[in-house]
Amino acid sequence: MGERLAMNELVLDHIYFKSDSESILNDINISINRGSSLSLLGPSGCGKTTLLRIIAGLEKPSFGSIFFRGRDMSDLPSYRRNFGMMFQDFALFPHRNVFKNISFGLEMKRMSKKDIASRVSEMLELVNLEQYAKRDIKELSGGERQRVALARTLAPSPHLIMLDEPLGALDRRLRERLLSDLSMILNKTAITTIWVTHDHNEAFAVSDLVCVMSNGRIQQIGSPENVYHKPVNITVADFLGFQNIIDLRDLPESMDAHENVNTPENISCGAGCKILIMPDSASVVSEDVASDIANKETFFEKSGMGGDTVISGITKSIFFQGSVRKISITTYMNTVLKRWKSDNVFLINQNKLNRNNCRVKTSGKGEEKREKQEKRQEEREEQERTLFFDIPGHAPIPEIGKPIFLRIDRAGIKIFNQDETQAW
Amino acid sequence: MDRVDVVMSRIIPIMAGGIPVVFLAVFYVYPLAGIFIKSFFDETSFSFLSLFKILQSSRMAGIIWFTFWQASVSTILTLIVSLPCAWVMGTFDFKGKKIVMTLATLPFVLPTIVVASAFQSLAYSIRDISGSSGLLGVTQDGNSAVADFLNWLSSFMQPEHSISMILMAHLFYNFSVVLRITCAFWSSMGKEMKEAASMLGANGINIFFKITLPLLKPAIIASSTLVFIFCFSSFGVILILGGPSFSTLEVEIYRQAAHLFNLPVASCLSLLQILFTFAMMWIYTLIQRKNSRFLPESEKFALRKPACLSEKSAIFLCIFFIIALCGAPIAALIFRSLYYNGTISLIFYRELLLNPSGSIFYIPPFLAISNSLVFALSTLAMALVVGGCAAYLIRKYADLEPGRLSGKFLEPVFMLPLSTSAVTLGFGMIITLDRPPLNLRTSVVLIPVIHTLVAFPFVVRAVLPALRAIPSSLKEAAFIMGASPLRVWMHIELPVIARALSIGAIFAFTISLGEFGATLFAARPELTTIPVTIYRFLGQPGAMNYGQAMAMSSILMLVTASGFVFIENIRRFGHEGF
Repeated sequence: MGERLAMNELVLDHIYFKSDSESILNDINISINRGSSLSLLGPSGCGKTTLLRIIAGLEKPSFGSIFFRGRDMSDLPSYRRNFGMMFQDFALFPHRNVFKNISFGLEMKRMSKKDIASRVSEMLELVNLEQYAKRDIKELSGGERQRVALARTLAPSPHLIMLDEPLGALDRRLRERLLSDLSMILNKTAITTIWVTHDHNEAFAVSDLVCVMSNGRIQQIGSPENVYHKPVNITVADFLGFQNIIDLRDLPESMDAHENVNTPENISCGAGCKILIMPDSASVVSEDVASDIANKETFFEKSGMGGDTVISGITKSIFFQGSVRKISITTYMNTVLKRWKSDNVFLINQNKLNRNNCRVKTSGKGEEKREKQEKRQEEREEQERTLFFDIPGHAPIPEIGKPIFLRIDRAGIKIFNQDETQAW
Repeated sequence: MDRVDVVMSRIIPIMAGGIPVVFLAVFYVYPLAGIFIKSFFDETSFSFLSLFKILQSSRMAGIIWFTFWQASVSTILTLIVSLPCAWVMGTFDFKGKKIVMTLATLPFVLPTIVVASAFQSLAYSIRDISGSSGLLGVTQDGNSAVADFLNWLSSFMQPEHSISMILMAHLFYNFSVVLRITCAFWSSMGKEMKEAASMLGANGINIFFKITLPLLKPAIIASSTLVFIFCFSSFGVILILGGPSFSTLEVEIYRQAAHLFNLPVASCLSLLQILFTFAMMWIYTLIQRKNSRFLPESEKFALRKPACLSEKSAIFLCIFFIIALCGAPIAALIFRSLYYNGTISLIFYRELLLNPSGSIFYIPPFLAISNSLVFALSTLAMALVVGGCAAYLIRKYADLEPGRLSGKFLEPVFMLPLSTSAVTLGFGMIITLDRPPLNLRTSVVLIPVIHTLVAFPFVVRAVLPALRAIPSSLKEAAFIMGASPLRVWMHIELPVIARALSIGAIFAFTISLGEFGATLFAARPELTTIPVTIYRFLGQPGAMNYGQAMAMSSILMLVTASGFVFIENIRRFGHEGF
């Protein structure tokens, strides 16, 4: 513990927060290194802003302590902590102009007028607002206000900067532009930074460490790459916007998922399991290749690259987005996963891998046959599922309404246990 | 175009727009012009002579000085008292807050005559209690602190002709103006600004002086300007509580005109009064404009529950003070109206329905009540028509074609009657509308017309925001679906502005019921109203007359108070302030 305190800039030690007997934060433990940046990511109401306010000293935790550079901050009021905070709607003082807003923190430090003037102009230069010193706050655009707020926060040289949804109040185009400005300026200053955001793209773009929160608990802490590629549970995956989550409970009885789905380590993966298929793990293959993979007689298998899965379906929509095409396909559950074989190949039932699965046959002879077909069709509709994938923009363009065969990388499929932890 | 369409889209708007313009020209501009002419034209020639003469006389200078002095002192007193209360109300959330706020605002909507008589009855009650401390079970030497306090209070609150009574009545009356405006500002400030300052290293004292106070400054200045204007043109309170020894410009105009029939002097004083109030209204508007620029950005209402004992006791003190300040005079008024010869009885109320006196000038009280009701209902109808049309006119010319110069002045022009004191309005009307082409001196419509003049700006202020809130796409969608202008008005606009219209209607009704200054001028003896009758009762000796004045004041208070409570409840958006 002592070592942890000494090494880390900020340590949150078992923070709990209750408001009106409602539990807002539960056992929060975070350590941040000096100069690094952390994002608190989560849906609204997950407690991330409360946590930020506790670090700032604006709220008192119900239990737990905050250590900054080894010093317990619990009894230090917010105005003695020398932390900076940028508020969601900036909270600029409307009765003070740009200069006076930025100088406020310096006045509080009782700096001399001369020093204040030079520090403010330094800050204005940093945020590219040299000409704005005398401007009224009301005359500024949203982006300019954001930069004034940043300059005001940075001016007193805080040890730590917190930003509460700093782009939340701005429109989308402005956000994208300002995001890079903001992280560039902050990188220049090399101050430890904590961001609060509900936008995972924003969090990934600006921070070294992402902390995904939900229901007052930390779900996962890790580098952006780690969190994105290895979400530890379905809650994180869901929050990151992954749509291809298949609940095995949804599978029809006839699938008998419990019996057929086995994980390589023989972890029981029953009906409570959920499967995540990463959207960027798919590539379009021809029907022949697809059935080859399915028949295990493939090149990949022989060369030891086995473990790929094939999904067949009908292309539903295609959106061109520059480097990738976002496609959605309609498929049937029983073609997505039929069996998890002991040799790690996620296999599709061979019999079903044909065009019949993609198209409903209308021709039929005899009453009995038609009945059978109708029943099958009903079953199919029950199992119908839409999946979303990003395929490379340069790949052949699939046709809408036509069958499509996708090969899924082995790493692109994740299985989560009933208790929502990742099984594989 | 169909003939009906031509009527609907061309002729009706012109007629509707014409009503408020003509009304304002005939009943506002013309009487004021009359005052100007009477002040400057001595006999036939133009001169400043009479105006100079008045300004040079020491008595008039004294009156002007006293007018300013009492207004300033009242304003400062109100500020000192209401700012701490505004802090409590603007920061904390507690049970019964709405009721306390309503109680605090109640005095503002009471007619001046009721306020004056309420304070008189409070002073009498305190004198009675301190005179016979045995009433409370306190012996003179047993509990001398209480007795001393009561003695001090009774010597402080002389029922007749005392400056302290005037100041307290003004405080009672205007307390809520500062309270509501500042409180709305304070609570809309939110906590974010303060937290930002705290993060930048400001402690509690720094936050208050560098953030809170500068942000509140416009609200404080605006509300105190308003209070100053109200106190400056205060009439009923000073006439009744001040007696002959204290006279303001407003009271002096009435005395010169009604008692001494010195119309030129009255005109000159009216002119001064108009110039003063216009100047102050202009300042107020300037501040208001600045205000809107300075409104805090955060609109989140961050009221919190009291955290510690000192905050709880602050709330308790605030509630106690408001109940004492606003509740005590009201309670004393009701008590006095029910207290006769040592017992509680309804004799004063019963007496109102009888006509024991044979005097020809005597107007039975119930007749005054029915007069008042008739006047109030006709004022309601006229104010709705004039105010509604004015709102449409402003919407059409000022909002939708903002480039036009005429549009810019439309709204302020229709608000002018608000900034003109009632006495000058009444005086202007009786000196101009007493001969052809328009002789209303003996007409029944004169009083409703005066009341409408005072009341219709309130209708405009109620209706205009509602009109502005209707998105034009709403009407356009109805047009495209084939609705005629009449049907659009009936089915789209009217339902939307109905709530605002009803608020305006209640305003007009209660204003007419309580209007005193102008009515006292213009009312013919046989067409007297409730406030004028109360004034006459107060002027006559005897417990019976006094008791009846209290009873009538209580009735009037009850009607205006219920009107106010009703308005507060139907106002959907809790927009505080005035």
